[in-house]
Amino acid sequence: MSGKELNDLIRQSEEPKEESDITETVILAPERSKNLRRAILKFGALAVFAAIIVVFATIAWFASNKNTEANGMSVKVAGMPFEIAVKGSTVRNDSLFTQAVPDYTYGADDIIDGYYISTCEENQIKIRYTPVQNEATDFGPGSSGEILFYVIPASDGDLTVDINLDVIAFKEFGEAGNTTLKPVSELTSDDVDEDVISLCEEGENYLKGHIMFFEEPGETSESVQKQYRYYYKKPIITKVLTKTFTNARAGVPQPVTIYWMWPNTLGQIALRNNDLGQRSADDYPIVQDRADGVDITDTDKGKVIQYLIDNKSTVFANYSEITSAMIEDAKTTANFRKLSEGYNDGDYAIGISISYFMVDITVGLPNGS
Amino acid sequence: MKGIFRKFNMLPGKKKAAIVTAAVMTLTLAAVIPVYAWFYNQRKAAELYKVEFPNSLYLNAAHREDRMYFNLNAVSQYKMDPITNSPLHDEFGKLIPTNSQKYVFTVSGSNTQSYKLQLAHTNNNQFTYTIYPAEESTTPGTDDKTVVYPMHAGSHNENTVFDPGSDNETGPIYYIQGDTPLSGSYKNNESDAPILAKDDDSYYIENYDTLTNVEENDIPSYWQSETIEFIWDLNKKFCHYYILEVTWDLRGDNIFENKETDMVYITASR
Repeated sequence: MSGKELNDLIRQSEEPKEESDITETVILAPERSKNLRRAILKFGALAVFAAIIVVFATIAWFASNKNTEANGMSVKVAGMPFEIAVKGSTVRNDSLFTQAVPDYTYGADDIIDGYYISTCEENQIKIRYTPVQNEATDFGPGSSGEILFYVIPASDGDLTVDINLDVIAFKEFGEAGNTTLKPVSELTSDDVDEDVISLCEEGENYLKGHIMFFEEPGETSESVQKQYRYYYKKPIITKVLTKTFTNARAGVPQPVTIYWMWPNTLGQIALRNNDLGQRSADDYPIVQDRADGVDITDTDKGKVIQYLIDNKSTVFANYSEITSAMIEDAKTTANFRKLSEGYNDGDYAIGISISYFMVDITVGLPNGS
Repeated sequence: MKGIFRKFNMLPGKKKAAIVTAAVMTLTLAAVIPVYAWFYNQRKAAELYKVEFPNSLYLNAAHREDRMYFNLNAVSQYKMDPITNSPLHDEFGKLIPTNSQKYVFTVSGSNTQSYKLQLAHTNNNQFTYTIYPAEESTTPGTDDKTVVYPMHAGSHNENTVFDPGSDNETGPIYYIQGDTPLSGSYKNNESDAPILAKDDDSYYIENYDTLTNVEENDIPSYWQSETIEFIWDLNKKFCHYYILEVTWDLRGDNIFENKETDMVYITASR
């Protein structure tokens, strides 16, 4: 076979095949196009999904970045926009604290001299204080406290944080010398009887209502006449305080002081003023008194009375019998007695059931940021 | 959108399930990750405070029952059955005269390590009041030292310091009188026999101011115990039982012919 013949043969054998290919392509073209579109759609959806995952994972990674750098007095926290810190020589009820809530630790004390600072590993720290002479050990109605802690911005500029305040109750149970302290919310019937758990839950409920928070101290100095004295300003009635540190410098601790009080009597919180002498002269009002007949809506007094109305089920043990009108008109003898009885019974319910309470402060970026 | 639903409806069950699962997981992830990240942007600080146990002092009927069951009505010159509250008879069917009657009360409380008991009473009947410590018992002691008390169901509404346990207890419970009465003294005694209160002291002025001609037996006598000190239990609580004994002279001056009324107040104070 010559070369030409061979080529012809090859061409002949290929020609039909080409025809067949063409035919097949023509027939299959719409199906392939569909498949291709589907594949692209599938890939696109997967890519978008993957992108979402990658974005969030990156955010989470940044947020949980554990690299903390210390350089002299400056603190750099990668990812976390701030840390918190406390100062003081000791931790109140330290060993029981550790037993009841082991998640809380002391914080790092080697970053800034004198400060115990939260870190990614130690993101829940114990508040410290420096005891003074005759320091109270037990706290009940009439007790108060001042909590000082610091927010340390990670970068220069403005920083806004939400400070959430909570009160958590604890029950101590077991034989003397071998007791256990547990949050009331974690008690089980293996720990104490069911009816004791109910009592503790009731106590915790009133505790959350009776402990009130404030931003600033009031006027209690000796130079002011007793009837004009009051304990605090700016009640934090929502238990959330939004704080902005303007032009703050990275690594420089910004102090935050929170005042709490467990008012001793109803007269300190519910009365507009003491014109009728229902309040003992030594039980100063918790916020400044206001005259009858004036609008107190935007005053501290108005806010505290509104707090009582909004939270009556956690303030008054007889709350089912208490109306908003009674709270607004606490001066009327019958109302005063009813409210006072409810407040005192609430105190009593706390006292007989709750062994310890914790003021728990959560500092975070404002919701949504 | 309708087209998507139509296509979804046309899919086989397995594919539908797979798509729904995938969608739910995607949404969950999308919600969880930012929440998780936000939580990581938090720091917490806390301080633990010890709660002061409240002070309380309760005065109740026997067995810490509500005060209404502490009943001094109708002091009888004859022995009474404490359960049925009817007179007892001797073997000859006669009433049994007596010159005393005993009533049980409870003092209990928390976070208190001392208190005083006080009596304030009028003197129309010239009764003698004596308070004895007592022990609660489920079995009776000797006759003259035992007071039987019938328990009442649903009677623990006032004293919340102690868990009443079952509040449906009925039937008798016994109180064994101690040997020595509580020591104490009258604060305004003019004389012991007859017992009369002063009509010119600060207590009198407090009660009657400048009024005179008050019937001498109506002026209240005030008795106060010495401070009763004790050690509370592990929960800083205590519960003490007492017997108030009211006595009179069996042969004296026909006192019951007078059918007089006296008032007696018991108070516990810290």
